[in-house]
Amino acid sequence: MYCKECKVTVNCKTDVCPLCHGKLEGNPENEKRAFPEGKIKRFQLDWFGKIYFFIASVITIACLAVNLARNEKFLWSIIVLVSLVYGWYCIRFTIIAQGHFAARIFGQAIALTLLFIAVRLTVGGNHFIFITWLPVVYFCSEVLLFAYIAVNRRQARPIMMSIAVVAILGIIPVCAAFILNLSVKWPSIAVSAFSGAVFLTTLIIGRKHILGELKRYFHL
Amino acid sequence: MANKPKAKWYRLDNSGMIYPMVITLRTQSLYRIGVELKEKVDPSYLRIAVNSALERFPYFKVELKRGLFRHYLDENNRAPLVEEDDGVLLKILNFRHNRYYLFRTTYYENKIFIDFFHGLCDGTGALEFFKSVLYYYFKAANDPFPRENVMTISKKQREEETEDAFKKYYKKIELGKGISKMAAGSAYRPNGKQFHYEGFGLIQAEVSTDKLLEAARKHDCSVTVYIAALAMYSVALCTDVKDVKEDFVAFIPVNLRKKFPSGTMFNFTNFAKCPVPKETERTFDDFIVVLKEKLASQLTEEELQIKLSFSSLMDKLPLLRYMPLFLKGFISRIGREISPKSKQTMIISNLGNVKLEDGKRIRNFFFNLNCNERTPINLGVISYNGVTTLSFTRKLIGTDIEKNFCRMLSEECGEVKVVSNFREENDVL
Repeated sequence: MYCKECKVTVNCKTDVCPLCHGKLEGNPENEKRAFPEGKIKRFQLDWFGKIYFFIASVITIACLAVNLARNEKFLWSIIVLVSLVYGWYCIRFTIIAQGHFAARIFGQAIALTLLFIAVRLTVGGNHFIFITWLPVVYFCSEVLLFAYIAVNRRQARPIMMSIAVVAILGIIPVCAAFILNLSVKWPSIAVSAFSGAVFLTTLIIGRKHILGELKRYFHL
Repeated sequence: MANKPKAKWYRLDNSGMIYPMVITLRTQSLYRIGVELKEKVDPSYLRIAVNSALERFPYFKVELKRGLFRHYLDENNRAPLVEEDDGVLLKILNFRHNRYYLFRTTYYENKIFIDFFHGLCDGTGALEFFKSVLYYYFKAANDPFPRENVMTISKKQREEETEDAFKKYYKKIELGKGISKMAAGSAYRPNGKQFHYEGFGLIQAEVSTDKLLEAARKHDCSVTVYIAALAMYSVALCTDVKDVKEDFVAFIPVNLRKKFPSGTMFNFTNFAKCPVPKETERTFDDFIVVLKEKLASQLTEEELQIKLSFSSLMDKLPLLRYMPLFLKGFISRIGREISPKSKQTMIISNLGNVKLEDGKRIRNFFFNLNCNERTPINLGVISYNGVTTLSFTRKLIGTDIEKNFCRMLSEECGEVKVVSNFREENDVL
């Protein structure tokens, strides 16, 4: 088809010129679409960050205001803030993230460690975090990572490093158990022993892989 | 039992390492090379072709990973995905869906598209890979063409294909000199409503390469200068002289391999910044004169050496080299946010002439650049078998710039054929 205004030949299925949107001479039925009709998504993922930030700010300011207005010694609004930050991390870097499954598990182990330590520092006194929560996090992370390797053996190499680091983090509960003199020590000791075994196994089986990963990570 | 080959990894080149740092949920640095065949695409042959090409280009069979100081490319054992195109031009790469490859292969009717992430390679490397894919495609279809000008498995991989050419040609420079060369003032940004959602508008114009050369000769300039001048003049025609506060700046990618020989398939390009002052007389010939002079002054070896060395500073300055990656990325993104002005009016990239078989199987090639809110329209140029295809990718809903361009092109070069993806039909709130 031909556009008299633009003096161009249009080689796709349309009855208007793509340049000036004027009528074309010729029969559009003889032509095909040059490109597929776009399946455009109406929601953009980056809107989520802005919406979440707005809602989180409102909630945080409201809680802080109430907390301070009531002249409370215990600043529970900080736990709200930390939880909201963790919530953003979960959605942005775990649920909608495009990273590997192992990287997301690893990220969650680190994020939960930081969350629980922040809660512990705010709340104080409560050792339940070190008796139960942290040991559970490390134990579950290591089991999930091993399960992933069992299913995806070809992806084992890069995951060895994540397992080794999570296993090292598994020392935290037993250190806390003795430093803080926890009343119940066995869960921490059990998980730390399990982590130690995992670490040694990973070192024995995957020493070369871990060295390779370290070379890549530090660009050696 | 044969020993399993050692898993390979590759460092990102000095130019390529910037791109992963500025990835957001909405933007990535992508570009597309495509081909229109004379027959409908067979996806099974295409899958075989991509896998075969990756055997020759093992450094493209990678995924992007984060190190402590910079990203790197690690071996990717998954089978690459080949699927039908969904019509959303240069949609961001969903790494998980794409099996973590840094290029995406799609097809539609008789067209094959490969979208490349710029962190992996520049247009030169991408084109070599694409030619290899085509060679193996037709080989799988029992219709092979001669393998001259194609990198195939039978031709041994050379070490220089994975070298960081920026590092190879780095020379110490005065930091101040480099900053003054690279610092970009603001440029005129084409106005108009932009698409709300993903995807870009596309208008592709085909013209005879000989007629284009003739027109460029008539104006005593190169084809690149001619096209850049035409593009800038088309933008200027859409403006009122009194409304323009900034210069019209054409950013023209320069293939550094021409002055600094290298066989690298990774990135080795830089930009020539060519401003047309806003006071310039609004005639096409004046635009050509200005751009010809600006481009020539940017293409001297000294100028390119300064820019090349400045691009390598990320690796050379200890402060930048040992800065943790998350901090580098944060600073890069903040830098982009606090400088909202456009640095260029349009990027005009010419991949040159593709030398491949003799037009029996392939109709033409095309090359699309992506754009963003600050540079809402870009132009990709590529030639094949006597036809030059000029592809405008735009975020603008309006098509005035392309209209001015194509009208002038048809006056100067005769017959112009145009196709479009009619993206504007889909942007209904």
